[in-house]
Amino acid sequence: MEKGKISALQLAMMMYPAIIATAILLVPAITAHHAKQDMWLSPIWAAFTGAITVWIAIRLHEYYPKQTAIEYSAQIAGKWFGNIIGFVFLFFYLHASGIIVREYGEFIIGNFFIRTPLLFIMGSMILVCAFAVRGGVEVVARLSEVAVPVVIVVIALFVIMLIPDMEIKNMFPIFEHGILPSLKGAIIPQSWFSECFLIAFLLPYVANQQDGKKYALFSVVAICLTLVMVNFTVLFVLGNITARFVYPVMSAVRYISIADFLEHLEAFVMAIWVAGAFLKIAVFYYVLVLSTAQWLRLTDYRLIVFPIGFLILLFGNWAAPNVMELSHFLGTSTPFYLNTVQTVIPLLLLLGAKWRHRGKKA
Amino acid sequence: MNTAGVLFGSIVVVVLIFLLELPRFRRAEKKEKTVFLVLLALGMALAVVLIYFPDVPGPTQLVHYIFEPLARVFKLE
Repeated sequence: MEKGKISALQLAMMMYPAIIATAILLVPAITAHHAKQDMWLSPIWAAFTGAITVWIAIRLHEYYPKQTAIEYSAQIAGKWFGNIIGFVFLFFYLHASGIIVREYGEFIIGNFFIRTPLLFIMGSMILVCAFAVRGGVEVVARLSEVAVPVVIVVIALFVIMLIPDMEIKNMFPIFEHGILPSLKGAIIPQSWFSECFLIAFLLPYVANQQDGKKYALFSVVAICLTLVMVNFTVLFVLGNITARFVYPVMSAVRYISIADFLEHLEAFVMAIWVAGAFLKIAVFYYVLVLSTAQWLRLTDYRLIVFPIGFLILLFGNWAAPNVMELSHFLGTSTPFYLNTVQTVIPLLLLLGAKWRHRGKKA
Repeated sequence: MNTAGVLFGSIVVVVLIFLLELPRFRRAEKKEKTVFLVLLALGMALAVVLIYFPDVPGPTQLVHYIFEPLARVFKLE
């Protein structure tokens, strides 16, 4: 169905914004709430989930090299039960896309376009993503290749420009209450890392297969380092009030003031976040459309792109009544939801695949 | 937001999607045509429900109901 091919580096570049884009919106505040001054350590714990999920996806890919998660769950669990697992994935990615679009919309409304209707912000983003998704996996991959280096450079620039405002003493005392707070703070970011399971849908289209594993792990490390750097910056600039902000990174960037000249750089934050959110939504949207087509055994997925986009818009609207409830949902039950669908179910699938291949050399 | 306006907007979106995809729709196989129309109908039905009952419990509430006990175990409240 999908005839396009991507390179392993492009795969890594698709994974990077797919996790970073929203992990630096609401998540640092939630992490800070639990981990306090140890929040910089949480992404490192969290990366373990990313590594495990990538490992599961790669092992499954080795058993079924030409198939995506939807196809091999039917092979592993049987037709009837496999279809149910497939439906869980579909529903999950539809719901998750809706939540991501909503997070993006609330961020734009809350900070910049205060009077624009939410539906319009979300709808225009979905429309742009729909055109990218219709172009297929190659288009999404090339867009990532163009935008991701810019996003990385701008994030690094912000960190450098904030150095004069940093107070290293904000990170002391380290481990005031032992190691537990930083582990608790890791619960939310680690569930974001479970989104690495997206590679299970993209690996069959990677041209240089032998590099897939290397680059997938490389993207996990890059994401981890970025989150550590961002959390350090936020902690050094804002200190122990980080948890009180809805978007701590945004608030930290407002502190930038170089020679009373370089100020109000929030617009750049918005620019890179729009780019990041666009890629994240496009990747999720693509996976959702491809999975739906595979689940229903269609021959082409392009026709269903726009109807599914409309559904994503409605799910985004349906996800939560307001940004506070959304934040509460993301901070309480979301991690278990993301982990169950993207780490536990794949692990069960892997055990099933091992059992099916018992006695055979893999 | 006024209800009639949003309803009208949803109808416009659905009709636009249909018109935009009409050339591809004509060429598509029967199964794809069915899926396309069913998805559009689902979207329209969900839009109508959400316009008249904006507080109808959704997937978020379902997920929250299932996983909230776990969140309480880890004291994430």
